[in-house]
Amino acid sequence: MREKIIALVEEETGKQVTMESDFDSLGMDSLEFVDLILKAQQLSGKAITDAEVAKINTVGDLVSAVA
Amino acid sequence: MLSFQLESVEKWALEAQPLYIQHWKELGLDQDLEIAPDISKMKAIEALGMWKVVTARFEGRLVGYVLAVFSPHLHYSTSAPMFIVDAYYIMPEFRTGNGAKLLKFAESVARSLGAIKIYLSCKVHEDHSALFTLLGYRLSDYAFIKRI
Repeated sequence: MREKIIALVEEETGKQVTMESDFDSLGMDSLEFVDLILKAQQLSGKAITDAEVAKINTVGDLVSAVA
Repeated sequence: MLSFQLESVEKWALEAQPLYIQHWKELGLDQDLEIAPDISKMKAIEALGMWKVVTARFEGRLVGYVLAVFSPHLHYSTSAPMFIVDAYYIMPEFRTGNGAKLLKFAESVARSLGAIKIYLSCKVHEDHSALFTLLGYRLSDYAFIKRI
């Protein structure tokens, strides 16, 4: 799942990312961020709660949330 | 990294003034009216359990907020409370997905408090409807105003 999420984030942002990459620095707005979260949920088949979303700061956090 | 939390009007008000002035300058339609939030009234309503403040903080500094009335709706007084968002704001430099996180967190707070519905709106000239739709909201009303 880690590789799939990294590939998804790279596709959505057009930037190379690592697990440590911070969404604040990837130039996304809220609409793009929520779209990414929804796609990550679809990809993994796992729902992320609203409270969990608020804690997603890095690509690694997103990987953990859908693991 | 931002933190999101439910906090008191008193704590919010300590740092809120520069933000709500910025908020008003950016979005307010009535620039001829003085922006002067009634903090005392907010505290009074909060004491009744009917006013909630959700904040976004960066290294402890206030950078965003959601203000909401929390109460059973006057039309549905026997039903569970609803979370009626009065205002929300996030400083421009933190609009990197954090606005969505703030709204998501506010929704989790509303749910944990027992709310069954959230009312959320945006300005026509700052249209967030695509974001709201993606967050699961549906368009329900058109609102009109008129200066008299």
